[in-house]
Amino acid sequence: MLVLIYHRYLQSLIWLFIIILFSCNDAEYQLDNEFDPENLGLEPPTIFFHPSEFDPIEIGRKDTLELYSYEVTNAAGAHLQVEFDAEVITINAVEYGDFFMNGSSGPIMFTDPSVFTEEQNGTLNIYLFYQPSLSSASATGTMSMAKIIFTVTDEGSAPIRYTENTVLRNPSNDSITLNKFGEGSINATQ
Amino acid sequence: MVKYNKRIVFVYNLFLILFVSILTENAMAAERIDWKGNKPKTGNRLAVLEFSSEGLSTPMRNLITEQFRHNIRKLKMYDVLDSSMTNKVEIFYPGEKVYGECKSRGCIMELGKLLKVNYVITGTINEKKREYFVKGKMYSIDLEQEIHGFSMENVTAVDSVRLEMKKLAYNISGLEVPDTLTIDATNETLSFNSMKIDKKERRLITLPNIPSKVKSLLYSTVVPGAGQMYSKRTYTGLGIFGAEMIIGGLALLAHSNYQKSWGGFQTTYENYKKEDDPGKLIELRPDIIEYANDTERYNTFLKGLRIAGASVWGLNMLHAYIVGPDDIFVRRGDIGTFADASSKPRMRAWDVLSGFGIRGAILRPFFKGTSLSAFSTFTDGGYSIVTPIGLYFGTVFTSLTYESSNYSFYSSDFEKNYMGTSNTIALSFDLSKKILFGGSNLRKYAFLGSSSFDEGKGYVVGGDLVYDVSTFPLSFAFISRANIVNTSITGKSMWVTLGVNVGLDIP
Repeated sequence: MLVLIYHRYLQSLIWLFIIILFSCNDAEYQLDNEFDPENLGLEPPTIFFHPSEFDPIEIGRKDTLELYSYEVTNAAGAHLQVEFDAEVITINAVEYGDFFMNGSSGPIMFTDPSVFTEEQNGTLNIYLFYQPSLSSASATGTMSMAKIIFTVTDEGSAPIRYTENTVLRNPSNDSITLNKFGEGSINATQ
Repeated sequence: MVKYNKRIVFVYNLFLILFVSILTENAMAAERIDWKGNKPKTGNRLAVLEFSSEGLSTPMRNLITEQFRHNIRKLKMYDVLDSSMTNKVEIFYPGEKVYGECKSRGCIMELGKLLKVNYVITGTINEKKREYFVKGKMYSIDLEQEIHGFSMENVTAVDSVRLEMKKLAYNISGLEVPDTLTIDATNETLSFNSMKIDKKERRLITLPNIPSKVKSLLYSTVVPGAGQMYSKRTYTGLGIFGAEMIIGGLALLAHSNYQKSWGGFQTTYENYKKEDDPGKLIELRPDIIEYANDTERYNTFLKGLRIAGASVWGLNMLHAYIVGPDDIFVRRGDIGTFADASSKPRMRAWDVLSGFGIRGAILRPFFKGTSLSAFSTFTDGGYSIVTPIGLYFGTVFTSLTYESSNYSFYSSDFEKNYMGTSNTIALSFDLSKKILFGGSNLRKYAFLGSSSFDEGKGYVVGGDLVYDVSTFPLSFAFISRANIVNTSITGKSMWVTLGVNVGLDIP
């Protein structure tokens, strides 16, 4: 009974001698998660698509693509212009992400086109504005700025990229210097 | 047939004898004893070694030995060495049944030379079923041999033993025993040659005798320092044992920290592998690297401790074998006590610091309140400084103590933690004179203090059981602490820790 009561402490004592005799394992790890921005070959601060590559999506299926900031600091607004292959995908909707959230206040967002029909020209403009408060006027970090919900309409590989018109601005309306943007690709199958 | 001239043969033989005598003259001279200038001298200095005993109390044994010395001294045939002088030299001789005793002829000769005496008396007093048996031998150190043996059997009372010992004193001094001493005597004094040979006990299984050196090695292999203690190197043994304990304590502490880092690493790395949010991945990345680095750091430290621990262990084994009872070890005089050191008349820095002490501790919570029930506990370290600053409340000395200890609690997913350092100013109540169990070497303290935690203030109550290692200023203690704290994270919390500490006091 006594042995049972002191089992844990007895165990600790045995551990003590084992510890003296043997050392423990070293932590071995590989930071190779495919979604880790550091594995995308990008230099922050920049913006990228998440995921950058999709598993093949069947025609007619819906999916979501996120537009991510990567260690962007002091951003008060953004104009994200995205080019895509309108023959392969059709955009159904755009939602804002967490990056431009100020507490519970979401950002002001416009899109062009504002209404998503089946006739699309392959360019999407998203305008996001941070709603400042007394304590905060800008956003910083690696987060989702916006989500694009799309439907695959035809077979093929559809690259998706930010255009040169894409810009992020700070509270003083100065543009934030960004490094090379990340690119994405959507594969559609039958 | 050859004929020899008798005269020629005679002259030839004469020359041959002369030649041989010239050749061997020097060799003969070397072996010759010159009795004229170097008459063999022997003094009358006698040492009576403490009699060993079985079934007799030590004071009684000492009394009988001392009276025996006194009796011989009174007869003025020998210059008997005082007991304090005799006991001043301790000799550890190989081959003794009990290491540290001096019973063999070789040891007695060695001891006699060290004591610079001409004769040594050694003996035993045994008590079996209220009957006393005394056996002894007298050795001549100059002649390097036993010169007298004596024994008494079936003496039925201690007083009779004392009387018989008186008679022995006469016998050894070569004097006739006065008749007045023979009243109630029931002994027979036997010569050494007629002494009975003890019947040897028969054993069914006889194990081979393990040499003392190997015994010492085996003891130290099992418990570091034990072989040294067996070889009468108590302080060295305690030092080695203490060193291994300190290394073990540090290893335990390092392992606890390793476990924290390893747990954190595993959790964050698993999350990293499963996560698909780049934002969260970028947050997990530095945590993984930090936990991995910490794990490696603690592991390296553990490896270092392992080498240190194994080295100390190995050296301890080697040392135990070297100092094992195969060589003569002589300890002369009294090493003195720390009390003597502090009784020096001149005031020194040492005296000013006297009474202060420092203790290093390892602690682990074994009970925690509901606010911490979702957290796991870990072993942490701490230290305390004890001071002689205090007051007597009756027999209870209350002194001021400062204690600093770490605490750490982690949630099972390692995402939440509650950790920091508590600094406590406390009163230590010495209850040793109130609670008597454990004797004077085991001090009992109650502990009450006010603590400052990283997240708030609180109180600490507890108790210490401090074991003092003989006259050495080293102590080992078992400690308990109940911490009550009000924090912004957990609200009102409490936990109870148990731990051990090693202390060094300035005597």
